[in-house]
Amino acid sequence: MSFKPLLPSLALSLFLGMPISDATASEVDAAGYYKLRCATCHGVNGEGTRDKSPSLGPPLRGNPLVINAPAEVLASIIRHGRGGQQRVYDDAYPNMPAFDAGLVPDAVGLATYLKTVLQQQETTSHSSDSARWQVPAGVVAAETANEGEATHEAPPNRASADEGHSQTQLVGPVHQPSLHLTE
Amino acid sequence: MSTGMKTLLICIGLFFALQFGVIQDAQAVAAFARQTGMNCNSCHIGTYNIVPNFTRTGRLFAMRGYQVPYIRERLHAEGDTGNNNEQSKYGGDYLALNWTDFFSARLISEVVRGGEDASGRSLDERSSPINRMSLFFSGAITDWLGVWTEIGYLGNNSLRSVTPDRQNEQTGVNFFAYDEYRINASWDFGKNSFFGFSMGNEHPNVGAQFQYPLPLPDLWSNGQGGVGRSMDMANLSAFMFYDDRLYLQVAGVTGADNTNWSDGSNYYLNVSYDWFRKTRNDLWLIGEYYAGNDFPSIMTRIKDSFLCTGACPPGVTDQNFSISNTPGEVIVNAPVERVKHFDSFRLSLEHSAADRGPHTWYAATTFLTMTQDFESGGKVEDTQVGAYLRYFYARTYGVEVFVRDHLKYEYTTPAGLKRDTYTKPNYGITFLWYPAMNFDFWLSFSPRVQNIVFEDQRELYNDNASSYVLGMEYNF
Repeated sequence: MSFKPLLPSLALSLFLGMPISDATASEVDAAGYYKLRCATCHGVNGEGTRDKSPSLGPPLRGNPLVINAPAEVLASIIRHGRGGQQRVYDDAYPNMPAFDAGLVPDAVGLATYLKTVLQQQETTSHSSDSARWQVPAGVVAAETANEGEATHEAPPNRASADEGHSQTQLVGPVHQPSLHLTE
Repeated sequence: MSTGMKTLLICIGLFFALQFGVIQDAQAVAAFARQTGMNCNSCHIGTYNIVPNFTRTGRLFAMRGYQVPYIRERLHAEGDTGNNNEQSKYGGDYLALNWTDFFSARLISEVVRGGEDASGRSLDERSSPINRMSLFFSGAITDWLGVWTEIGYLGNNSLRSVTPDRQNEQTGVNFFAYDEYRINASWDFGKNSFFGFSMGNEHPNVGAQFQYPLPLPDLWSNGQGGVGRSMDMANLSAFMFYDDRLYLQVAGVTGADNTNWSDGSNYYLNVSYDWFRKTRNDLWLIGEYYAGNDFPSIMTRIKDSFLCTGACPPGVTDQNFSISNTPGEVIVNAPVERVKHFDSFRLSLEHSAADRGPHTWYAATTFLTMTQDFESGGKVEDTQVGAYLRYFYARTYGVEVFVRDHLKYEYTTPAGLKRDTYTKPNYGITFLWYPAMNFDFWLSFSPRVQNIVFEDQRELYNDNASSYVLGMEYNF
């Protein structure tokens, strides 16, 4: 039996099977879940919705808490939400809902996405919101102390609370995958 | 042991059984909470007895017509459309209303009710196990269109006759179904601004939910579709929210007694300003103007056509009145008049503070005045003020107090004779307990319910009453 006729097809299959970007599968899923569960309140590019009425969520892009807190802490916030006295922002935002495993299967993966890929998103003029919001002093430390045990571990991209979104480096365009729902 | 005492003990037992049993794990699952993913406290400062005071988020959510795009995304995620690229599209293949997310219900039960009315009659028999039961089908249809519907049932004793000599009697009808709806479309324009239109069968100030809190003076008796002086009305409304702080609304209303535009109509204006603009600390200054020529007299208890058909006072037909169980302005033994024109103005200040530490409260004060010119040539002028506070500790234990009074309430007869009224402040206190944010108990006292009489008949009719109610509400 000759395999020669099959080689072109095999080569094509291998070629098509190659990743067309350096985005991992988890990043693809995280981006999809960000669009599905987060973007309405926190903006398509993490810029927040302070310019909308009602305003639903603060910017995550350039957010010192997102940048500095360990992914486990952010995952805990995703899992439990923040309501009532747990809210940090003395602004127009309402309580943050809790997202269980049925809504966000991989909270740590999504948190990692928030800390990495989202921080590198290219945004338009509506990122102005993230430039002017402020997290009260000590909030990051308090959040990490309250939310998990990983506070002793220095986050990889530490920034001071008042330095905003200037701490990350752009590493090129980010692949925007299509939405994959697994639930 | 009396039957009333047994009932009270059973209720107290149920109270504690529920506290240590089922309710601890209760969740907020009403329609909007399910749709948005946010809990009830994001938008409300208590919902006790259909008075859903609002945070800033809730106020704006209502103004926009219950549209939050998140709803749409959840529907697509759970609606098995199979094509997520359609998320931003609408059309005939889009499921607008999802049964699970858009359906909810409310049950209000007045388990124990007592006191005595102005004639000294005991109110114990007026306990109402099912005081109100309603179904909701509400939420966003698209990201610019939303709907609110409520179909309900009011329990016993809701209706009172206006037939002479039977004004304190029940009608014999022991239930009353009602319905209400509004459809609301809105669009963004610029930063923190939107405009829109709405239509519905309620008073137009429900669009921004400025009819609450209910214990404050309200001569318009905002209806809610089937009760109040605004029954069977229809309204068309245009509104705008500008720069995150200024709300403007104009509306045309068919009138209070029917949906016919040709026999008279009213109009409504609203100019409101939001000062603090924080969901945890919000302050609204609200100015409202309502005027027209289709409105019932505020002096008389409103229709009870079930009895009035055969024994109406001269000149009175069913079309003169709308059904209401709303007292408060009715003058004992007042003459029946038909309104030729009315003007009314209301100025309110409302402050909501949510989760300031363990403290949450909603405070409001209102000044309201109405002048009605009658076809007979007479007129009535009523000016009221009121203050209100609802406070919660840890969103669980609360107290609500209100006081309201008439500054002036005077009837001028067709002959020009001025008849002043004798009134006293009306006040009440209510203790609240929320085992869960969608399940609450209340115990309210109204130490003195003062009926309103003409000064020249004060010795004949003036009397005091008192009342207390132990009730519960469950939104699910």
